[in-house]
Amino acid sequence: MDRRTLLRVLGGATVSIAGLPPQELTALVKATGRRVPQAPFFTDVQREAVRAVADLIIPATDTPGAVEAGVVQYIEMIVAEWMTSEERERFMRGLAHLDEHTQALAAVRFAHAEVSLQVAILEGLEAEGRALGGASTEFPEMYGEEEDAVSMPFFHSIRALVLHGYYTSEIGMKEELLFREIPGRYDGCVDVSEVTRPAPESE
Amino acid sequence: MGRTETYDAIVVGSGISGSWAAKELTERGLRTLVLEAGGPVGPADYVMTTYPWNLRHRGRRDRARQSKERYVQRHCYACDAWSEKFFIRDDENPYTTARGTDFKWIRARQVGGRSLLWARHVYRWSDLDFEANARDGHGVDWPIRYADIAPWYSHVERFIGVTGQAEGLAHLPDAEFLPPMPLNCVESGFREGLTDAYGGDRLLTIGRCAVLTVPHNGRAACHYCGTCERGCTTHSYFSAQAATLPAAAATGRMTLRPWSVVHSVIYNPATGRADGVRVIDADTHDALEFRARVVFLCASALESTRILLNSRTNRWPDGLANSSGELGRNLMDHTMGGGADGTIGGYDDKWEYGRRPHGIYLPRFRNVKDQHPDFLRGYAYQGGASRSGWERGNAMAGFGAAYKHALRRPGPWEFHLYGFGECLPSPSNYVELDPETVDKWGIPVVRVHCQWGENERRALEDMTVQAAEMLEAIGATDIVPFTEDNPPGLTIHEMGTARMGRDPGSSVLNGWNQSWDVPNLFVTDGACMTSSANQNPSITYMALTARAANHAVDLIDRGEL
Repeated sequence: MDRRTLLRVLGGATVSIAGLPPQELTALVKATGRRVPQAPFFTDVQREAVRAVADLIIPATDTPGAVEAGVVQYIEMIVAEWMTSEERERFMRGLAHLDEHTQALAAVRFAHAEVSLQVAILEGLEAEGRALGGASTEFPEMYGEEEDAVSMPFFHSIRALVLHGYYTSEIGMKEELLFREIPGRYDGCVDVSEVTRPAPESE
Repeated sequence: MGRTETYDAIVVGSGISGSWAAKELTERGLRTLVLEAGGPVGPADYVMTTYPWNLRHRGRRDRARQSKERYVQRHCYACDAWSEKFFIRDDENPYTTARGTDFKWIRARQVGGRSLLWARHVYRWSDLDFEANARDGHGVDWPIRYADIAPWYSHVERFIGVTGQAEGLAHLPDAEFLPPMPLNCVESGFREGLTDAYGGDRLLTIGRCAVLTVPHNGRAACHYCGTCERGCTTHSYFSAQAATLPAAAATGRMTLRPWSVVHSVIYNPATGRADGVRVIDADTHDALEFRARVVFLCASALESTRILLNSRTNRWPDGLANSSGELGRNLMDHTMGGGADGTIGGYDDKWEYGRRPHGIYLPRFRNVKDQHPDFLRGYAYQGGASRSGWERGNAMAGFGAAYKHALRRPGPWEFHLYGFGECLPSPSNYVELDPETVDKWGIPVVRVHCQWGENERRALEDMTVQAAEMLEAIGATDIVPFTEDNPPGLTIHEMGTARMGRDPGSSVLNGWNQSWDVPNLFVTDGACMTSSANQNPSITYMALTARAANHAVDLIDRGEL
């Protein structure tokens, strides 16, 4: 049975994999031979939290930010399809904790908190993560063994995803970093100002 | 057995060596069959203009799939989400290693072989290298000297196009250079600082590479996109597809047969010659035979030796053309990964435009004039100066608008020195056929016995120390020395196992890459190497191949073959 057939059996083409109870999800993965569920994977609430964090890490300024560059969809896909189950569980626990923590402080979910509180919470998570060595690891474990699950603190993990998602997007590469697909020549000594976008005047 | 076709020459392999054999043999008039184990690859398969945003996971490797299909290949930096399709499937092409040892065998079975993927650095050898074995007694003496190969280096370089800077070094002879790519400002400063600190004994120069800086032989100049291993649709670096195979095809005398896995060489005991080769069709698994007057094995060092080991005869039960007993022995690779990184101040307002496809070269300085007390032979560095990009955001504190804008500018200049060292030939490093393991086509695989020796380890340590000292001497700060523990094979300069020599009793091939035992059999890929030097070896394979092919045709023309 292929995945599409199975989805029909389970109740139509629009069935949400994320909504399945864990044992059915396991059965689905087993039956289809797929290692992982595919996006859409987040619930609306989870997606809202990821969007809020992405927007705080790389906001729109004189160029588009992470949200406009599609980073939320990117993170959802990486978490759903690319991460190992251990990485995925760790990330999802961190995401859940973000909302629980904010609820405890202000009785709202993270996405609905005041910006000043959001910033303070992220700064706190960053400090915690830095104490755990989070800032010394680059997230994409490109050369890793499959079993080498990347275990980064949540802040550094989601920030690494935002960075990778943004700076590998067409917006991030071309508008923000002035990436040229075909440079056409090499000059080993140009002014930085010729090849980078300046920070806005206000800074 | 199926039908038999007859040619003037058979070339096994279509990569760097095989495509050169094909070009030279066909241009000299021989109807040549080129047998390639893998499938066709061409510009339509290149992913040069595939950008991260075009890929579903933006270039992240599929770790689970690679661990099933390319569990060895993935250790190569180039086996990424773009280019992994150009590497073999390890599950179809197994090999084994002796207990307690590791050897990473990085391979590409496709038309053009690894020429699509190579790092393109090309450095001539000199008599410092060709005399090395005779000088210190490791291995046997090379049957040739620099004067024998120099015209063939020129022949090859003029065709492929080599960018580089003439420096007049006796031990790293200049090539037929196209204009060099420039050093960046930090590298220029390093070059001057190094000369100040070490006199004329140490030199930093721009890498010598088979990349075009001007249009050359109908191929376009480099456009500096920076990711050559994805394939180059403007043919701006040397690959078999871009240069040698089209030249061979243009003669009208080449027949290229992909999906042709060579099983063994057909030996004729009555004539003492090779009649041709046995092939298994990679797709249908049909057994086929092809015959020719001369056979060139250019399947890559270990594949060519594997074919010979699998061509057992009554006379040579341990592999064809093995009277010397040296077939399979003296496997070498370069060590790599002694080096250091350091931060360079003073050029904060400067950066690079364009992505240069190579870096610097710091030629060998050890054991050139006098003998180092701790190790024989030498090493050289590659590397260069660069500034980090957005990735450093992972190690920075903060987030938000100021963080985003800070990442628009590059990080500090860093200089990287990464060493590659010579490996001594040793009979204890060898390959044999594994009696218990066969590949997808039922052919016995090789079992590799290979470990670094004490000399390699000592040179590797010296690479680290000297890299750090040089960085210090030119004023770098935050110097981070490193000594990586890379297994043999991973440098992808595997060579030896069917060495050339002066004596049929101690070598497999003579000074023309010709089998001592089977005169119409030539081996011209890395298998033929008698020592390893420390230079990237491909240009020497090309020159030896062109030289051997022309010699074979000379012999035929004179009625001697």
